[in-house]
Amino acid sequence: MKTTRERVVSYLFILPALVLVVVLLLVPMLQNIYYSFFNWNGIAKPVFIGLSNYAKLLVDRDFLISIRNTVIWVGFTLIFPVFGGLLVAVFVDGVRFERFFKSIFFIPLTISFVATGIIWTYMFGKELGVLNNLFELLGLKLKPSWLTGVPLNTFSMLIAWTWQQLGTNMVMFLMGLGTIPVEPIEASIIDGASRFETFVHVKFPMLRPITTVVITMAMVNSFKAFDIIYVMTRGGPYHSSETLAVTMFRETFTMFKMGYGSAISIVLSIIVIAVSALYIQRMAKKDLLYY
Amino acid sequence: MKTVLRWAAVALALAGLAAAGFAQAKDLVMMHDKGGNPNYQPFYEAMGKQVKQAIGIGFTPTPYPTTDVFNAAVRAALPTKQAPDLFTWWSTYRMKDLIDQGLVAETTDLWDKHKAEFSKGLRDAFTFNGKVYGFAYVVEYWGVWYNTEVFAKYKLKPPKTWGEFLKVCDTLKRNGVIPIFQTVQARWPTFILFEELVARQNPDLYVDLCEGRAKYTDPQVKTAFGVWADLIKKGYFTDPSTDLFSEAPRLFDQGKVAMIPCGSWYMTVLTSNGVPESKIDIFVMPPHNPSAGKLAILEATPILIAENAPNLEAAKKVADYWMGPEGNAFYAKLVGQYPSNSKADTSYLAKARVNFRKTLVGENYRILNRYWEATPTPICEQAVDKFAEFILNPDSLDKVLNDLDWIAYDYWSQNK
Repeated sequence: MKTTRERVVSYLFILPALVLVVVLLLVPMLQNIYYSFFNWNGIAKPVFIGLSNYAKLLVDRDFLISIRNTVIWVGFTLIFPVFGGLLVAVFVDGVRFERFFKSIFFIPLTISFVATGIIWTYMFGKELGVLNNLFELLGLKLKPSWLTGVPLNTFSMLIAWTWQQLGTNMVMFLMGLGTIPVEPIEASIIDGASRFETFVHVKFPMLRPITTVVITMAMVNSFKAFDIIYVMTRGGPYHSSETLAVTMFRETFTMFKMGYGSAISIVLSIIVIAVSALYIQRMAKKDLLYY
Repeated sequence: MKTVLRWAAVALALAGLAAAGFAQAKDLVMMHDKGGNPNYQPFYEAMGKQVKQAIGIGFTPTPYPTTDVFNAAVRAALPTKQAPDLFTWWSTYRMKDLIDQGLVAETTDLWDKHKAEFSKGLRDAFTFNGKVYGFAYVVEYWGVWYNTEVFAKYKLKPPKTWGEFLKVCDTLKRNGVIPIFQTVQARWPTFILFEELVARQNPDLYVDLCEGRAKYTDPQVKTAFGVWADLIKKGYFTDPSTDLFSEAPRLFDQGKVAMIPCGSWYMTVLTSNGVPESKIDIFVMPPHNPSAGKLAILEATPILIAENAPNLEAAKKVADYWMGPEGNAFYAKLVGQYPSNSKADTSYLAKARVNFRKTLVGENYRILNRYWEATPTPICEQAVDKFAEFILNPDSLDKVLNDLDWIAYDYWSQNK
């Protein structure tokens, strides 16, 4: 049983973190919700307009394109960076030169999103880009407009995104593989299971807890995708490659429609929280978070 | 004990005085958006030192790499006590909402003091309800930069008429050279061809369009877009994903692109990317409608003083020096651009720039404000994306013009 003094001391230890969370997270969040009901350019007096910003979202073509692109980003992220990360982890785990291969896939992770965007902008350049010049060297008559062709530009950026994100997921899956006990794997080998069968029937089911974490993080990150898009296309041409985060930034800091931008950020937050919560809840219900 | 306290009091007082002295000697803050590519930070730093040497007040430039981030930072800081003393901005409509909110300090007295040194047109671009704000530190004119070696190779001359311009484009294309640079990358460059072609259809219409007195669906605007569409369909432009700052200078240097329509500041971009000056020259785009007459686009580049500037009077003294012939010439020479002060020395200017200005002044060209500043920001920011849509799909012309009308109507119906 804790004494009153001990309790007070405990709360005092929590206090600095609590103050930071309240000041830097809760207050801005509440302010954001508040401003989403206003028409405000950031400097003049805000004008209350009720739910108009939210109503406008429903008929805003750019917002709907942005939702579509965000869904593409999330879907693509689940297939390539996540599934790819799993495959790489499985193939790299325990092979000769494991550390070398791990490093190769891990290096892009150490590069910032902005730098990644710049590197891939040079790769995708129409006239002087690495890829188009490589095609020319190989005698291919291919010269795609990687960053202005719609919807090619979204997929070009997703290639850069996969290149950057694959390492994170590989590391997470390697951690998961490292926690699997040896006994069931040995048992399956004794029973005559091939490497593939061992993976499908033994390793993968036991990777579910880490898979849930990887998928949740990948989903949240892809919902928030901004830096790479901003650097490579700025969401263009004509908003065709915008995701919700980019649309929110444009409306807020380019158009200075602070209220409208706030409304978009609220919608984005609700989607991210709802999807993540639903997914985690489903996994928990199926008892898939533990083995 | 008393002695100790007395000494402590003296020490504190001295420390206070030292701190006050330090605060006074502290440089002013100047925020600017030109910290990316091209990077003007070294030029502003040199100017800060020059001002300090000349009048004893220096400034420290704070760079921002992109316009969006810079815009947001300045707008957030201006209403507060942490407002920058000085900040770079854009003229006319780009200044208006800051002025409407009382965030920019008036500089009418400085413009009056230097009245004989600045043109009336330039002053007008900074005047709102009879009061003048900020100052122009350099001015730029927009023309078509061309590769002299490529022109010489195919025996081409800078075109004087639209027919000659088309002939130049045709010759270049037939010889495997991309005639004109055009891009949708970075959004804003899409307005370049728009303003050049609409103004050359009818300059009065261009002004009316920018100021909400004409419609984008006006038949004359449509004609200008038709000329643009024709150039696109003939394959006279670069692929629109080519970048103006990283790719265009290299393509220009390699002789793969012959002409780049841009501001006179673009010469610095070309030379800093290794293009020799001898390869660079500029001409004014000829009018496709001869009755439009001779005209060129002006870009006035201002520095504004924040109304909440912590050192308002000192900032005005810096502005006064920078507006004067000496300060104005010092900075303009650093960057190799046109000084805004007509009395400032221009002997340092590259030959191409001297001839260009001589043509504009000597042949009485009509000077029009750049679209970026000449029309309200909420319209311009959406219009550049619509121009991109048109560039990528010229057949979308009617839709684009209707959308532009809606965008303009949305603004003007609330802000007439």
